[in-house]
Amino acid sequence: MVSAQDPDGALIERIQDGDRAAFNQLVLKYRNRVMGIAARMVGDRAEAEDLAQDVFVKAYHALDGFHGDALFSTWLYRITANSCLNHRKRRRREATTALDGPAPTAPDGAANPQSLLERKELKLLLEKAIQALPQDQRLVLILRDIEGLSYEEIADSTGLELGTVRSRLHRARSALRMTIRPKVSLNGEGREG
Amino acid sequence: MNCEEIKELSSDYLDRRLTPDRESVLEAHLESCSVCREEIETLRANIVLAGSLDRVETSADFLAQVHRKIEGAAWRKRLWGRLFEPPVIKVPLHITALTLLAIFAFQMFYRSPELSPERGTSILPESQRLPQDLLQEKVLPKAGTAQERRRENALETGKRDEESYRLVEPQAPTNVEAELSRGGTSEASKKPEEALASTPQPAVIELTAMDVSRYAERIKVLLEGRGGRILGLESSPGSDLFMTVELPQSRQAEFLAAARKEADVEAGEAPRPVIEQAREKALARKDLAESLRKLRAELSRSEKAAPLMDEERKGAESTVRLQLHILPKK
Repeated sequence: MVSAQDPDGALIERIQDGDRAAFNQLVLKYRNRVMGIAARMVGDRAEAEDLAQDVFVKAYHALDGFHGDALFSTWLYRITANSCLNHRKRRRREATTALDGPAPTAPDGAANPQSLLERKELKLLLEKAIQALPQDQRLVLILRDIEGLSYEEIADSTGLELGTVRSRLHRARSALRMTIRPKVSLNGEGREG
Repeated sequence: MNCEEIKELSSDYLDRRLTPDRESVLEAHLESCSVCREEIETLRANIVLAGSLDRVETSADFLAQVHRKIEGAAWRKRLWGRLFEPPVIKVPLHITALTLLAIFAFQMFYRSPELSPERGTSILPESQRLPQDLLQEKVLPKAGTAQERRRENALETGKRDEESYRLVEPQAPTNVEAELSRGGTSEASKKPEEALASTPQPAVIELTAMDVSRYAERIKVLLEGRGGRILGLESSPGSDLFMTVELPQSRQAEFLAAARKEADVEAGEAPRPVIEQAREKALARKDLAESLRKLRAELSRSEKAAPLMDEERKGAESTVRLQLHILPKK
């Protein structure tokens, strides 16, 4: 029986009863998150999309055994993390393939064009720096600083101890600090803590 | 708290995971240490920048692809279930079927092909073959161009009439006796082969027989029984036999009917295996050579008696000359 505190509880129960439309809703809700993790872990868009599809296929087949021990989102991230870590590259890795090129940015009326360009370049630098991190540090950084999961959620998703999550995150951030020193003012942007 | 400790706690500080006391101590250090302050700010900026990275979106048919994969997995699972469930029954069945298939394939692959020697070639070693000179001895002189062409055609095409003989070109019967008597006693003492050279070529009748030599001897018997005789013999490397015969015109039809019947009797024998047939052919060639010697010996004896026979034939009915082409039945 799914936990009542799980925001996806009702959908899960419908899926377990054979409701295909409920499954579709779940896919549409989490597809970009799963895709984001896969893309930054794998580094190739096509492979990441294929991997993301496989995540939902696995989830579909395993849903009958989901009993609400954890939140569905955490459970889904666990499948995603395991799939990414087990993934074997079929093609030669091209670090800029998935995340290169023009990316959509939120319009900022207050920033000048030069700042926007610098910001864009910084983002690209950061993406490359994330790709260069060791896989275990990369996963924790993505879950925390990009996807916004808490330390506990990261621990549940990866099966790591909280202390391990903390230390890996710290090492990943230190490595990025050495690589990138942003020059653009970021007052009031992004998430903190 | 020193700078190293500040560095270690910077991530926890930014994530608000420090206790209030430790947080106060750290902030007090930052107020006095610009290096640590810059480090913390850089770290904070990177975290904020990471949080603002563009979301990677899936393609438009992502959901359809997921369902396609689910259906494919379900199909594979159903197929697996049908093939291997229950394993106790299905697996032994599959193993048995594969084993039988492998045995069948093995037998088909290694099955020996039937021997089919090429036409005209002998499978006997060279030492067992008859000398070519015995087989190619010519008794009759060369015929005219047209007759020779017809004979060659008969040899090359090897056509076999259903009734085992074919009249190639009927010609008016020739009176050998009259022709011989015109030539005088010297003519009468001529060998039949020489007399034949000066007369028009007879009709060629094709006959087929399983055993050419044996059939030739039967023809001789049939011929002599009807007042006929053999004028000449010629054989070819392919075991064909050309027999020039002469007999009373009135007995021609009877003789040919008997010869055909004799051939049919031989043809009625059941076909033998190819190897045995080849051996029999080789023996047949040997027998043919023997038969030829016998027939020629008899021919030479009949030559001596020719004047007497010619005398007997004086006033007898006209005769017809035929050339029998005896072919081995394949």
